[in-house]
Amino acid sequence: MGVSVPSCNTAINGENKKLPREVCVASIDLKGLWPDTTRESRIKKILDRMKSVAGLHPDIICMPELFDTMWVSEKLTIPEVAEDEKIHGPVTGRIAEFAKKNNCYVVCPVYTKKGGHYYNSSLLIDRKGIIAGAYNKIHPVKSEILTDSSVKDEVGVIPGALDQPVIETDFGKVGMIICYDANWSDGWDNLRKQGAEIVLFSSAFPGGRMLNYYAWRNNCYIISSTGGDARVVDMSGNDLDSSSTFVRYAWANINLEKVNADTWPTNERLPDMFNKYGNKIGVKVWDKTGVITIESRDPHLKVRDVLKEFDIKTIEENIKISEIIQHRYRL
Amino acid sequence: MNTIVKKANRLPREVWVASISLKGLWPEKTIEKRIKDVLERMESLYAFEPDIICLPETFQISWVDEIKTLEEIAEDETIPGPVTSRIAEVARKQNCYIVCPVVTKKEGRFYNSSILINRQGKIDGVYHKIHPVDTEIIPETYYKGGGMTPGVMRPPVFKTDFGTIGMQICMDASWFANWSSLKDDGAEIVFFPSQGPFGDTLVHHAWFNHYYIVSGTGEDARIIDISGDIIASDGEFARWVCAPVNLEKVFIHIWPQIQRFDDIQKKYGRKIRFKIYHPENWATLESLDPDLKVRDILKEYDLPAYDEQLKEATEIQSKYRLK
Repeated sequence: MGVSVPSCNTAINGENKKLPREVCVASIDLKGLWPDTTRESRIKKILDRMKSVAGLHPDIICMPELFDTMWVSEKLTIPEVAEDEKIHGPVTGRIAEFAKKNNCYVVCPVYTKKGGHYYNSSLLIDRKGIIAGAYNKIHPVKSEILTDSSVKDEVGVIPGALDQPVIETDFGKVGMIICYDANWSDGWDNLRKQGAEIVLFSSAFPGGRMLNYYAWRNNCYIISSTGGDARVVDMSGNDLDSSSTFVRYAWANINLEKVNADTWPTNERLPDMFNKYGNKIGVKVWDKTGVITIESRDPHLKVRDVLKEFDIKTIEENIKISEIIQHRYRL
Repeated sequence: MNTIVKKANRLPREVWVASISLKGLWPEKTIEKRIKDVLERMESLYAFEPDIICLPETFQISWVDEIKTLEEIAEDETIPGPVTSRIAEVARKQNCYIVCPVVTKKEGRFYNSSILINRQGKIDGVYHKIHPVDTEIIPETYYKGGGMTPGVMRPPVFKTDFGTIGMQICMDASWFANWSSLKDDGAEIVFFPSQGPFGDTLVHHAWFNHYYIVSGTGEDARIIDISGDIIASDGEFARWVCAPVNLEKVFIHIWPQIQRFDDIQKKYGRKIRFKIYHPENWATLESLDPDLKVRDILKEYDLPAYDEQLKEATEIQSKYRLK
């Protein structure tokens, strides 16, 4: 079941207002929807499942990889189903309508066509139903690229460029990754360098501990939507929520005004921080991953300012500072 | 607790690895008391006839009240010094390797090191912590009489009589290149003496690089599988671990290889063991038969290991990606 991260749902001055950088994220999985006979049946079922989370007023919903054709027995070729990257096609049009009606972003993974080539893509549709950007899977499986030449009209996809963009939304920077991409770290590293705060992972396979690793390594939230499960992974590398037998979606209110710090020496500064800021800050010690997350629960307080005041470094800052000293003293 | 398998009955590439934690042994007043406590804790391991034991980082001085200068405690890297020689004596008597983490001195510089002592009690090699904490490096901050010099960026690997091993120490866990380098150089087991336990960080380094990790820290002792699964961990009633790891084991991506798993299992029955990691789409395959090599099975069924599959996939992707 979904969680409401306490820091985010804490009422401020008794009012149930969202924090400035609080984002409600949701995702659905494909479990129980396959095998399916027709593409139309699949799309209808997916839209039904998405309606289940609409009442949460999510800022963004992530959908599974190639949700309209994955494990659907109706035989359709890629050219028959591929959509444009910028203008709505038959499927993206329906998802865009949902996005507009529910005032949320949607990660909509479909085949796309551009410059005569086909891609396994995720399109980001914004709150107005407009396509805000596209991600093309950079590491498709061999069989997606090299199709069976004995099958008439069978064409494959080509791998996306290695420098896929992050996309600015009205709540922060997001990046996307698709399925088999998870076996390489280059796509994730590229998104981190561009400042992605949330990575949306649409996939056939769930990813398991790989996603916990990438979230921790890249200090970002990961929202996954797959053939087996849907999850929300914290920047500390720990699961915040996952879909379950009776609820095939996941959600959480996450706070982007939050950082990962090392457990030591951050632990030594906590009492002073508590004394000054009390519940205006949220601190969680994740012993399992050796991380302390610190977040602001006050709309007027920036977490970076608190860190500066107490001379606490984020993990990334600590690494940079240490490398300078190590380099100076190394032979 | 593992059933003890005598050396004569072990599989050819079955290695019994062990480690101890320092939990419950600190704070301590004197260095001598600490050494005695560590030696006593090691005694629980000998009945298992371990091939190698990992001790915690700078075990003789971590959280010990007695302060000595680096000059006073630093040991030689080739000839056993006062502490190393006592550990070497255990190695010789128990016929095992020992990862012995001490401060060493070389050409006038001090290092936070792990010395590898072999079954004869001789020093086989040394690893210098690549990423010491700032306070360790800057003289007179954490240590009296100097500071630690960070080791060279590419960590060495060591050939033992059971396989290729590497070592990492404590804060090294927060970097990635050093762990990848050990994999590239063929490490099959990485030993991790540390003060901090580093939780899932070690789990991730293990699966990401497909080698076993054995940790001996100030807080815990663990043996981690090439999949990231915890094989053994210490606890309240036993502050040590000892378990077999099978180096005749390979990491596989299950797709499309899984289509052949049934055939392989039918042919080899109990001579092999598959373990499937469903969410990650991985599997491990190991040989439980002294005459069967896992690589031969992969070859027989024309299946790639995980790294081979990714290498081929990368080549195809590069070929078809628009320039």
